[in-house]
This record gives sequence, C-alpha cells and structure tokens, in this order.
Amino acid sequence: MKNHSQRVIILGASVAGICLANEMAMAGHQVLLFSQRTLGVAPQALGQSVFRASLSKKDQDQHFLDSVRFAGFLGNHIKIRELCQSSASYLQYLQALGLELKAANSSLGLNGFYEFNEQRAYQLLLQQLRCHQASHRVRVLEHWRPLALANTEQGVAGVVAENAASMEIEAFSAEAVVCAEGFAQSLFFSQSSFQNDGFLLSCLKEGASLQGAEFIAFHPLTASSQVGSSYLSLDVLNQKAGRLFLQKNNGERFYFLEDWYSDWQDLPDFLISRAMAKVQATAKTGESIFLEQGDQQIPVRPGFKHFLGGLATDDAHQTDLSGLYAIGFASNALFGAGCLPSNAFALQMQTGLDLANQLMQKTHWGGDSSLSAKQFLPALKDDQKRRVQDLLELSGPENLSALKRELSELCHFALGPMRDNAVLQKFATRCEALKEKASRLGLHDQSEHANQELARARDLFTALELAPALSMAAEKRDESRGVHYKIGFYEPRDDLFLQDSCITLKQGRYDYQLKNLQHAIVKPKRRQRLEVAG
Amino acid sequence: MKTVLLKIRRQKANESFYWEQFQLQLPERATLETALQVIQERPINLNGESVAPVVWEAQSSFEQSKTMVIVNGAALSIRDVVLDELVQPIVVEPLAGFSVIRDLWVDLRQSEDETKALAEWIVPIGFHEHSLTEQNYKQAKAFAGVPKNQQALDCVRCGACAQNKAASLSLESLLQLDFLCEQNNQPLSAEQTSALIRTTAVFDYDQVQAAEAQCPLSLALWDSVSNHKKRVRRAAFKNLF
Repeated sequence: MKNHSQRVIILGASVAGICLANEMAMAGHQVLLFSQRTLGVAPQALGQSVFRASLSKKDQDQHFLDSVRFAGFLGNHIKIRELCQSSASYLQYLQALGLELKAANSSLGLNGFYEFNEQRAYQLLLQQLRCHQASHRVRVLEHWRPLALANTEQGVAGVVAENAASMEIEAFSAEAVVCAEGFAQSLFFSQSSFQNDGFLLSCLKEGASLQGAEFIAFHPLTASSQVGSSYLSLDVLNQKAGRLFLQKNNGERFYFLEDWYSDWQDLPDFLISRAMAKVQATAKTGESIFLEQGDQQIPVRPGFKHFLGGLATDDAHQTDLSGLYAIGFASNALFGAGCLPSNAFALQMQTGLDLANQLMQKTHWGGDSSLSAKQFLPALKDDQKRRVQDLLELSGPENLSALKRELSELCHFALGPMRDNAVLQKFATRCEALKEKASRLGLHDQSEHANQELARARDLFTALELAPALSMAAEKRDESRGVHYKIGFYEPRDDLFLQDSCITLKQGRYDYQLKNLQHAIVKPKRRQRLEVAG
Repeated sequence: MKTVLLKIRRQKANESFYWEQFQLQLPERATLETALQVIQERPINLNGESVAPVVWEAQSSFEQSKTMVIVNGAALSIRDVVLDELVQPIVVEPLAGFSVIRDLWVDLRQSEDETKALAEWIVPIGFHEHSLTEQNYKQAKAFAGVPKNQQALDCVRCGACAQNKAASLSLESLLQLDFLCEQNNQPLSAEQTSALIRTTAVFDYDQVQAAEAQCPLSLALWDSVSNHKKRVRRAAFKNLF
C-alpha cells in the first residue's frame, strides 16, 4: 500500500501506458502521461480482434504451450505463463468496463478464444483515463516528445520533453519514469517514435541496456503498394479489401484461405498469418501471393515492421537504471509471446497492470527526487534547447528524406529477415559514411513552430547512432531462427536460444554480452527449418 | 507517371492563411499521402521557390491512418484519397471547426469541457483490489450492465463529423455520452441534466444529419442526439412536478 502520493511519468499513451496511468491514479498518485499524438486518434497497438484468453485451466495450459511453440523467440517463460493465466482476469476487467465479448468460432479450432473489438476496449480504458483527467489525478500531455532522460547517481530524476506544436522545451521531475512506447521502428520507416526522438539513446548513454535488439517483428501481411511506401493494411487482415491468392506458375490462382477455412471471412489475423507463412514456405520459385482487389492484383509479401528489442528489464519491469521502468513494447521481456499468438493487447495490459501493482507495493520507486536532482533538470533543458538551435542552423546540400530513405534501405537490406555476416560487417562503415553525409544536412524549414522536419532530422541522427548496435547484435547471432535466416548458419542453435543479447553503451562504444533466459518450464526443442521459397 | 496539381491551404497558428500550389509527378493511383511525402522530400512550389514542407499530423506509418483533411470540399483520409479520380487543381484544406496548428495539422484534442462532461458519467474502476474503494467497487458492479450500443466506442475521433459546428462538445463525444448514459441506466443527477442541456441544445437535426453523412464509419450520430434530447425532456418534466 502507498504511504504518500508520488509522481510517475509515463511515456506512451497506448494500452500499457493507459492501464498503468489508470491504476496509479486510482491509488492516489500523480500521473503525467505523455502522448506523442492526439489521444484516441487511431491508436497504434490496435488491430487484432481475437484475444487468446482462456477461462478454463486446460485452455490456459494449451494457451501457454501455443505461445511458446508459435513464438520464435521467448524472453521469460514464467512471465508468459503468468500472462496466459491472467488473461481471464483481464477479460473480466474489460467486461466490467462494458466490453462485449464473443466466443470465437470453434469450427476453426479456437476453443477458449474470445473475440472482441480492440478499438472498443481501448476506448473504454480511455474513458477511465478521461475520468481521472477530469479529476486532475492524471495530467495528459498530448503532442509532447520526450527528448532526454534526467539521471543522477541516486536514480532517475525526470525527463526533458518538447511540445511538437509550440516546440517549447520543458523539464518534468518524477519519482519514477516509465517507458511505454515501442522501439526503434523508424530505422525502417520515416515515422518518428518516442524512442527515436533521442530518448532511447539517452537511456543507453545513462547506463540502461538494450536486449534482444537483433530480432524484428514479422508480419506477413504487408501490402506492397504500387504507389510508394509499403504499409501494413489492416483491411487486408480483416479480409475486407479482397481475396488473397497464390499465383501459380501454371497461371492458376490458389485461394488458400477459402480452400483451408470454409469460414474464411471471419478468420482471426494470426490464422491468416500462419496460412500465408505456410503458402510462402511451400511455394515454388516464381510463385507469389497477391491480393485480388477488383480488377487489380496487389502483390502482398511478408514484411516486418520494427525491431523486437527493448530496454532490458527484470521481473518487476525495472531497467538497469534506478527509477526507470519499461512496459509493453518498450520492454523486451515478453515480446515473443505477444507478437505471434495474437496477444498484443493482453501483453500490454499485463505489463501495465503488473507494474502498477509492483509500484503500489513499494514505498520508494527508485527515482531521485532530491533538490539537487531538480536543480539538475534546467541544465539538461538548456542542452536540448541548444541542440534545437544547432539543428535549425543546418544548411548543407544533403536532403533529409533522401538520407532517411538511404538508411531505411540499408536496414532493410542488412537487418531484414535474410542476413549475411559479410554484409553486416560492412554495415557500420556504411553508417559512418551516412553520418558524414548527415553532417552536411540542410533543412528547408527553419521555423520554431510545429517544425516536423526538425523532428525528422533528430530522428535520423538518433537512428544513425542506434543502427550499429542493432547490426552488432545481428552479426553475433549465428543461427537461423523463426523468420531470421542467416547465410552459412542454417540451423537454429539451442545454446543461443537460451541466451539473450544485451547491448550497453560505454564511453561512446557499444558493448555486447549474452544473458541467460528464464526458460525453466518448457525445454526448447530442435526446430525444423522451412525451405525458403525462391 | 501523371502530373498532379495540388493547391494547399497553408497556415501557422494565429497567422493568416495563404494558398500554395505544387505540381508533382506521381505514379498512377497515387494517394494524397504519397503526394505529401513527395512535397516533404522536395518542397518546391509551382513558382519554383523552395518553401517549408507541408505539415500534417502524421500517425502510424504502417497501420491504418485516419488523418482527415478536406479534399475538394469533402472530408477524407489522406491515405484513402486516390488523386487520379479528382478534378484538378486538387484543393486541400485542413479540417474545419478546429484550430489549425500548422498547415493541415489541426488540434483534435478533447477540450476540457468535453472531458468534464464525459467524466460525469464514468465510474472509475481499478483492476487491483487495493486500488478500489468499497463504494466504487459497488458502483463498478452496477455499471457492468449489458451495453445497448457498443458502436459508440468505434469512433476514432477523426474529426470528420465536426465540420462547421460551433459547439463546445463534439458530436463524437455526444455519441460516447449516449453510450455512458445507457451503461449507467440510472436517473440523471442535476449536474448531468444540466450538462446534457448544455451539450445538446446547440445541435439541430439538420446539422447532425450532415455530420452523419461525413462519418467514414457510418456511425449513427442522429440516434444519440435524439436520445439525449429525450433524456433532457424527461428530466425537465420530472423537475417541473
């Protein structure tokens, strides 16, 4: 139980962040919730419609085994089992908020699964947040980006953040800082994320470590758009946009979903994903998957969205820095379980609610709330202001979008599912060359109001700093596992399966080491590698 | 490749707006988002001048974007607009009814009034036992009735419905309010009644029907407003006697 009201900063207002904020507010603490975007507008974590919740004991065990089997890489079995066992409680909580649940189609073999609309569930959690917001227990800072972590020898003191619209830079102190928003996705995309505004790099510089950074989140349904950048289409997942088929070499179309599932229009996304992976693996050279949309056929290819790694945390979601915590997709602990068996929503709820429980039982959260720590914040704020001024003065010939695209292509090539150590060894050199080009960057927009170009420039510089860490982790993992396929190392290695990569930044250089995993419940077994089509 | 002429309304907060034209070479069936990305990369206007890139509220890059703008007079998502199908020059404006942050980026944040009005109906429920008081635990149990219209929760606050309105509470919030009233299924308090009078009085049915036509998710706004007006009438009638 709490002894006195303390202040917690939560970075990220998706499911994990909102669950944590609601619980901390209920317990009487002050919450500062940062959201990079407008709250409630197209939340990012949503899109999956089936919750693999199991209400009976037998189903829970099956759920756990499925999670372990279908996730290519797992961080912590004990935590995953807890997640599976707690699923029913989350469902009851969501039901208490007013969510309608529907048992999933048992003809598809989905016993113990429940279907619900994640958008609706999110809105219900958001309504709770609004309630706390109205009673001033939670302060929501929309359009704010955290730029740097304030850390002292005694622990985390707060964050320095920037308002994306007014570009005002402010320092916020707190007894705990919780990182609740994704990882370095912008290495692949032009989109900025909390982490890439410099916050993650700042955490690493202060002594936090990065875990499991070599793995990427794989999503088979990336519609390869003919008009520019590829993107993941949720309409495709929901089968609203058209029918998926395999274009065979003899000219025939194989509508695999209709062939394998009679009720194909209501299929949950993870079944579609698995079906696509199966078709992909058995396809002959030259055969590929398309989406039939009227007269058009859009190529659909397995794609990836971002890196799986996150801040290394212990069972209590505590990072290496006292007072800094990570939950949801910002932490590496449960990602494997969350990604594949349609558990992303549960994963986020579980970590958010679990951390709330942990914090409520502690009297000291580890942060440094001393006067000297508060006095340290203005200096950090001034540093960031100077950095903004430096960026605004960039007037070289290099184009920001071109550099970002170059880095993105380099990452796709070297750090995608197919990897080669020879390429990875050259990656760091290419990054250095890009850094050198980036020093001659010029911005078109010198405005100090809602300057998105400046944010994208900051994003590029951070990505260039982080990319070598990811390539280092990828190079060290000499095996083919899950979607990852390494030239010359074609088998999964059980000795490496039990090890998780951990990267720290010391005196400007990345340091790599392996950490043991919690894998006591299910022993890893030899996996059969699927032949890669083509 | 096709040549596309875009006429974009540009503005910084608290400054007057101006129009700027861009002539772009785009692949066939390019979307507005692609066009804006092309401008972002090479922000040269029709007169050949280098200008600041156009700003919009960029949401997730790999999931369904709901960033809405007015294109040739209609509220549309930037990712859904296929430019080939539109009359040129294609006129792009920010959503009306909201304050402009910059260019096509408008402030869709919920106002404090909206938050307060909605919060009147929300029962705070905690997940952990020690975060609940006995009183709100009882309320939570009562609250968990069967909701009548879960569609209210489908609203993604895209802002399309709120065009040309002049109200302190947006239509999408009214929709949620309707859902919360149904959830509670209890007589309205004086504060709740006055909040409803405050919020529904400004909407006439023509306005609601126009807003409904704009909703990309075809949510039934009219029913919600009608329900609120009935609730207000019932409460007023009870107060009279």
